[in-house]
Amino acid sequence: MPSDHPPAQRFSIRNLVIELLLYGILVTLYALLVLRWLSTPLQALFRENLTVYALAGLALIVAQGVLLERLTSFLLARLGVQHFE
Amino acid sequence: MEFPIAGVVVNPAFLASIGFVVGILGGFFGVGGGFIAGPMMFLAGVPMNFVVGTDLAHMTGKSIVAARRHRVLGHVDVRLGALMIIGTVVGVECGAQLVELFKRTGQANQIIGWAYVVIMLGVGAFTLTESLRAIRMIHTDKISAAEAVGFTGITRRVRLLRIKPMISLPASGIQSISLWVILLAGFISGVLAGFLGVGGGFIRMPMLVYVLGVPTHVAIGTDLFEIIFSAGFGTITHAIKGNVDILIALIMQTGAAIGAQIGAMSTRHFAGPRIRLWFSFLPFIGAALVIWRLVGTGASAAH
Repeated sequence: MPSDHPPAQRFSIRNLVIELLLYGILVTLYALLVLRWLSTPLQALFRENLTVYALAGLALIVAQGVLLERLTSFLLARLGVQHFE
Repeated sequence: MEFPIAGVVVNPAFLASIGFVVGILGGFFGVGGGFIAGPMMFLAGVPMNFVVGTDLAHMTGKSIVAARRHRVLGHVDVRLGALMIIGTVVGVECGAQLVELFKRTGQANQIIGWAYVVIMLGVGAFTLTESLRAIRMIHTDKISAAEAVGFTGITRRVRLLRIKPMISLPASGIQSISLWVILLAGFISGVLAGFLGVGGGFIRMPMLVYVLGVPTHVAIGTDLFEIIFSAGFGTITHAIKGNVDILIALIMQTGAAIGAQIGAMSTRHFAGPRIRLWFSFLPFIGAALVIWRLVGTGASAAH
């Protein structure tokens, strides 16, 4: 049975699903790594120097935001899948 | 799983889920989403002081992802956003001072709470009425969705103000506008954000559309761009006070990153008036949550 959606929209939905799956796998792995490796040093920083902790925290948040966005774009390009744009 | 900084045990999947929902809202509507993330984190057992700071931290990261996506789509007016930040920063400080003033009366929670409710209901009702009118205009007047704005009175008057210096904002399709109007708009949204203790997206997005006349999609992207800096600043100040659990924020951000991508990409498939119509329900939800808290506080105080 043919789809009611135009080809461009079907392609976008497919890209979205692929992107979601990739993100899901990546963020699960990443979350496990974050909890495993960052927990102790961040806790120590929180106790010893709140200013350094604040700066380190913001740097981590910014870096993670950029990383998650770029990594997925890179992987999609490697897979030969056109990006959603 | 234990988060030792906040001293709380929370399921990371639950935190990522909160981030996901808030990320979609942020990417699609250009709001921080603190009105949902805050109560949900509190529900999960995160102490209240950590709720506010940690929410700001994850909001910063989520806004980077969403704003970057909107930037690729051509939905961010960097010049406008940068100028508004100046007014917003001053405004937030004035709003915070206003809070201190009301604290002396001993009725700060009630006054701020009910002011929040009135402003949110006003913003919601106005946006709802306008967007419905704009949608009708598309059908009856056969005008393009990009041009359909059901209320242009303030924008027209604002554009007539010729107080120098005048600047142009090509990314927003504005040929000439007074710099002071932009700073004032940023200041007002900052005062309200500082006074009400919210990120300001609720107020800034409608202000960009109805006061400055910025297209809805650009207003969303530009608002997110501004949230990066305002929430980033808030993260630093709260973290120095020991109110941020970065681990919780990082986990929330993993979900928010996905949601923000979906939300931002989804805006491509909806016209401005339709986005504004859905946006109009958010302030109602925010107001309802505050009423519930105010009434709940009153009830518990009575016992």
